[in-house]
Amino acid sequence: MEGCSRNGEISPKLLHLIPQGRRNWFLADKSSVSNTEEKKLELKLGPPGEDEDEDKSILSLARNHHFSPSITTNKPTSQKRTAPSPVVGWPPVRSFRKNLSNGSSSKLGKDSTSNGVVLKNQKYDNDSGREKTMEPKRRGGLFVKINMYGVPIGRKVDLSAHNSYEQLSLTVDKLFRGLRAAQRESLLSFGEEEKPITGLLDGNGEYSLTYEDNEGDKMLVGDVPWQMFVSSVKRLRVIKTSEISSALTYGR
Amino acid sequence: MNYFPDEVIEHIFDFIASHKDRNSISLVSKSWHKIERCSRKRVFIGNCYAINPERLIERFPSLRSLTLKGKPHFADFNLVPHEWGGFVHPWIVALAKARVGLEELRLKRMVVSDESLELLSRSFASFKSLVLVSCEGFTTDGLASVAANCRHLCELDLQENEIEDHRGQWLNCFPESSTALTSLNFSCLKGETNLAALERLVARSPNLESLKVNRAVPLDALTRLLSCAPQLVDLGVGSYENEPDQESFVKLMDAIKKCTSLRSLSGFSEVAPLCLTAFYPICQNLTSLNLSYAAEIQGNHLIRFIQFCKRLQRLWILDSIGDKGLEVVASTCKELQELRVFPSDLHDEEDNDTAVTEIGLVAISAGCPKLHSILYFCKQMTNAALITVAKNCPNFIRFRLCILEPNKPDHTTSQSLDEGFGAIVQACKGLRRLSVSGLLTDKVFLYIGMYAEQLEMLSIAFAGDTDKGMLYVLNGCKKMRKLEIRDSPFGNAALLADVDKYRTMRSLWMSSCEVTLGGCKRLARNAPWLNVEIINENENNDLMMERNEEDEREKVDRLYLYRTVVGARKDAPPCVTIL
Repeated sequence: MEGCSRNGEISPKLLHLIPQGRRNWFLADKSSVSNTEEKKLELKLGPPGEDEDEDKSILSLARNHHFSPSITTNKPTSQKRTAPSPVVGWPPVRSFRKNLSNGSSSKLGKDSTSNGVVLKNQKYDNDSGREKTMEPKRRGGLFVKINMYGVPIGRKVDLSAHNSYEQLSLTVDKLFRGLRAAQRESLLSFGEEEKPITGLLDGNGEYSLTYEDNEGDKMLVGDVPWQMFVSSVKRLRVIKTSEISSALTYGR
Repeated sequence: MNYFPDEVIEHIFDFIASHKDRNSISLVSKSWHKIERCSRKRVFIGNCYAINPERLIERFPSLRSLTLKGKPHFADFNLVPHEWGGFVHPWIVALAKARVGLEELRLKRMVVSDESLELLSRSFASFKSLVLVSCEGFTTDGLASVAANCRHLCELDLQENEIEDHRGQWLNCFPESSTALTSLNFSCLKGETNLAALERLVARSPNLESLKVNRAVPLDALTRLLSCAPQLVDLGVGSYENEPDQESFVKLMDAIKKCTSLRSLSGFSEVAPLCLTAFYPICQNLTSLNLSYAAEIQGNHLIRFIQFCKRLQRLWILDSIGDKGLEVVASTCKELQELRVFPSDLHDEEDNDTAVTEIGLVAISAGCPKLHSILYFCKQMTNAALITVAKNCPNFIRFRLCILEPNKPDHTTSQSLDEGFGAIVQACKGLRRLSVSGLLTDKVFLYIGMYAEQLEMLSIAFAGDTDKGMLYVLNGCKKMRKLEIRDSPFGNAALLADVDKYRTMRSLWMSSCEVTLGGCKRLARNAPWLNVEIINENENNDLMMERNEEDEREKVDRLYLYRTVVGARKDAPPCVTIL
């Protein structure tokens, strides 16, 4: 199981990017990380590795220096029915709306735990022949969202249509070249100089391609075998190469 | 009135349209009852299990238009199993058999099958209008039969339904002679659309006022559609991921410029901001704008657009507009009556400084004097803000506030939000619908019971301390019709205190509360005119009955009760037990 294979250790790549002082602190508190791992196994009702609330807890460990295993920051003293774990049917938003920030409907099926809502009973999703928004493993590609520094519009990339990092890099250039040029000028002008976006993978270009994996960790694209990357990537970001170290530790 | 012949009385009754009024008329006297029921054309049934089709037809033989609602409201949030019920088929069968001259059918949260649609399309020669909201169970094949067979079809309005898209040619099934369309909405269809068929259909429908296409209709097709339907009043736009090139953009804008009657705009899922820009020429005419699916449009683009929409009466938007954006709305949209702000980032992925807070709500209340309906999702709220909102806007009819985190207190004082909501119900004397959230004690329900005299629908989640809370509401709100409660500590004492109260209500929903099986059984015994349904997906009927004696104290996961004149329904699935 990919997500849990690390046993509370951090992959060398990420570790390398964390400045010295913080690194020690992170390692010293391995026990709390594994507690979170246990919590991950306890509370989760959906498939492992897809619960983004737990991801956030690891991120907050890295970011905020304190442990907040639950996402609620404001806890009143008398709790009747708190929801530290995802709550069914909450917030009260209809299915049609829930998957908006994930993008297109072809990604609908992947995240039955989207928005922190875990369905208690998947039973009714499995009726044959019915198209449901929550049905896992729908036909179609593997779409992940991709954002680029300085461009307000995000895009989606179908990773299943790519076989290599090179191909992916070309696609990113195609997706964002025009947008970036448009952003630099006024909204209504077209066809301004469009510089190709290169050097995404080798650190030589103005921009670099990074990704967020299923555990919420942020890494540079290109270090693991392609298939491993595809199976663990949740989201892509194109950031300025000069911002790499801060982007990967502080989360943006 | 006894001196008037029946025809005259009937003619007078024709002017009375509202269901409530007509129901009142029918209570005056036997003769009025008869005249009313024989002349009634439109019937609204809020709960399809409260009555059966045979009795409906018997009472209203001249029925032309029927509205039916099926599943309880919380079905929208996946709290009701898919197979729960709400089947329209028996209704259509009965109406067809009785040769009712049905012209209009509006369904909400019902299960519709292709078979039902086929039967519908063949049974009612004058059928004109089909409106399906949040329904499921059918495919585009069903739509094809409606298109093909309903020769006088004017309106086909599909709102947020789960439709299996067979990518067939349903649009082709409208015969060439079909020219009567006034409204066509297929925005919820997920598959490909036959663009040529759509364009031909629109071109031969001169009376088309409302057109809402699905995501598969690209920009250039939209341009052609608008060019042959410049008379459109209501437009739902598809989705355009790719940036338009300059030529397409200019053509689109030119087509839009000619749509001088356009008043309502929606759609825009996955749209690059440039496409929104194309609508600038007509934005000052808009009275209704729904950008709540436009997750890709950033706040600043939204604001830039809205600041020209001075005539907006209805705005549905995502919280990416931010407090700043709402301040712009408040200063621009002085005609605003209804506002809905939906959450855009449910993953909490982004450190969302731009989401809305109490500041935006206060700004809107201060700037929009005509505001009467609001649905507001936010991350935080304060009592002070709610008190200010209440002062600014005593005219609320619908006030629905959803603080995303359950039990969250006033973030400045850490107190409960009882006082804030109390201020709302006290000031808004006409309040009919209320949804509460955040940290709330029994006190808020005391206020609601005391002040919310017109309240008809109340939604409660993660609130209250004891049975007293629910009792305050049941005792105080005389006009309560629909009460839905989840995850709150109300139990049998509250449920059973006043059984007759449920005669005056349409339904009660309680899930993850403290009511037990024993309590529900007692209620069912004391109120045979209620259907008391226990929904438990983990068990079936038999198991529940076996555990009779030992487990009366077992808490009930989901309880749904409703008054009915036709007893227990026969179509309940195994996960539903009717006591």
